[in-house]
Amino acid sequence: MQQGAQSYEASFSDFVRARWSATVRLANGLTLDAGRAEDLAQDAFAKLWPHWPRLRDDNPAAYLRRVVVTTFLSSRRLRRVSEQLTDAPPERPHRDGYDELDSRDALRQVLLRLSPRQRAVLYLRYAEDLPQAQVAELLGCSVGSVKTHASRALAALRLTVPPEGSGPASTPTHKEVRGG
Amino acid sequence: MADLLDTERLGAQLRDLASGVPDSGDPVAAVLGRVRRRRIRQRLGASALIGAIAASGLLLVPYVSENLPGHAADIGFASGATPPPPWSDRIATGDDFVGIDSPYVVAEGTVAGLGWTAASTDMDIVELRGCLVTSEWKLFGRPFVCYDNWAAGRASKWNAERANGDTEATLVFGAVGPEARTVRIAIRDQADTVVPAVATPTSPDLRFFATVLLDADVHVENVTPLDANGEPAAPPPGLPWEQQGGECGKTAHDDPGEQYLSDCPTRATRAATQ
Repeated sequence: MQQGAQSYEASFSDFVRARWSATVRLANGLTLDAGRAEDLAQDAFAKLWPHWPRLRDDNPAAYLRRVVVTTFLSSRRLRRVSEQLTDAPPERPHRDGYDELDSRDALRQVLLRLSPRQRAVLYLRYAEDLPQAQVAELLGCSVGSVKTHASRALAALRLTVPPEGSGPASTPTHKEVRGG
Repeated sequence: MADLLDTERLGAQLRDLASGVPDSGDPVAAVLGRVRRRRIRQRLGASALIGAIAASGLLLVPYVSENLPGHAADIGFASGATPPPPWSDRIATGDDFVGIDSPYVVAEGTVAGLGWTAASTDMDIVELRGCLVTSEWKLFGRPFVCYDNWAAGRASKWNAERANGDTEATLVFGAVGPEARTVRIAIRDQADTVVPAVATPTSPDLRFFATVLLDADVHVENVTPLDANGEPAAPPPGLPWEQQGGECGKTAHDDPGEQYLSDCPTRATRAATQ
């Protein structure tokens, strides 16, 4: 193999090893599916490969994160995952607000009912602690849209657990519907 | 305060939820395997497209290599009009260009027995526009530079890269505005070199150039785009402008031992020479 190609592959491989865990974690936070998370991470790294000479000196981790997010959102579109407004709120895994959602599975179930963009905003904003402007850049939307997605996502989480004594919530929430 | 605590706790819960992926060992082999599969898929896709066109009875008009640059193909540009020659809409092929979006050949040649190709492209995955990539690894390390960010009034952006090892060669490449037809490369203590400024479907605002000079000690002093009358051409009009400087003299990688032979002339120098 040529020296340049070795250097290319070696530096790329180092980058993959260095960023793999964080990338899979991000992918898992978006997909909520460990198998799909690895698949998404591999896909994102593979998309960077032909551009590696250009990216490797230009904060490739930032580009990688962007590719993960955009690939996640576009793959959701390809799978014909759509959003549908429903009258019924999601299941109520807990009673006292989302701060009481100490069950991983319960939180996962609630998150799965959010739209992909809402989930992405929630994860990037609160788990990765990114500023709103950076989340907007990653998602290719305005800061106002990020605020709206975050607000609705948090509202949906709160809706799952109305305060004690209140009746069932009736505000429409998002429900994912998978197509063939 | 309550909301702040809520979102802090939510963040911790989300991180905890996302961390539940079992360690599957070294990921590199799987990622490189994915790269190979993408290459195969893209090759098959291209073959299927060509087959479909042939089966439909449409006449394929091959791009004539010796015409590069110079012949305007009869296809629409973004605005619907084909720009004046030099023009190239030939897609670069080969492993080095697999996975790169629509790489249009700008220049090609052979040096030290190795073929090289420079092609323009966009990087849609990260929204970078007006990029130039070359195929050659061994000599020049396959530079990949994007030219969508210019200082106001700058007429050219360019890079010069000396070949690795003992090969006496220097790759000079860059971009200029759409009014340019040729590019004059001024080299210290040598005669100027004039190369075509090639329009491609990559960008209506840029033309690209690339050439290999068979000399390792080249010092490029300036690069001047020339219009159809041989006069200095105007800067590109439609690109996002940056406030300061550019990337002349820098390429997209920093392999140890790599040497950049030139820097952009200062504004004063450029004003004096253009």
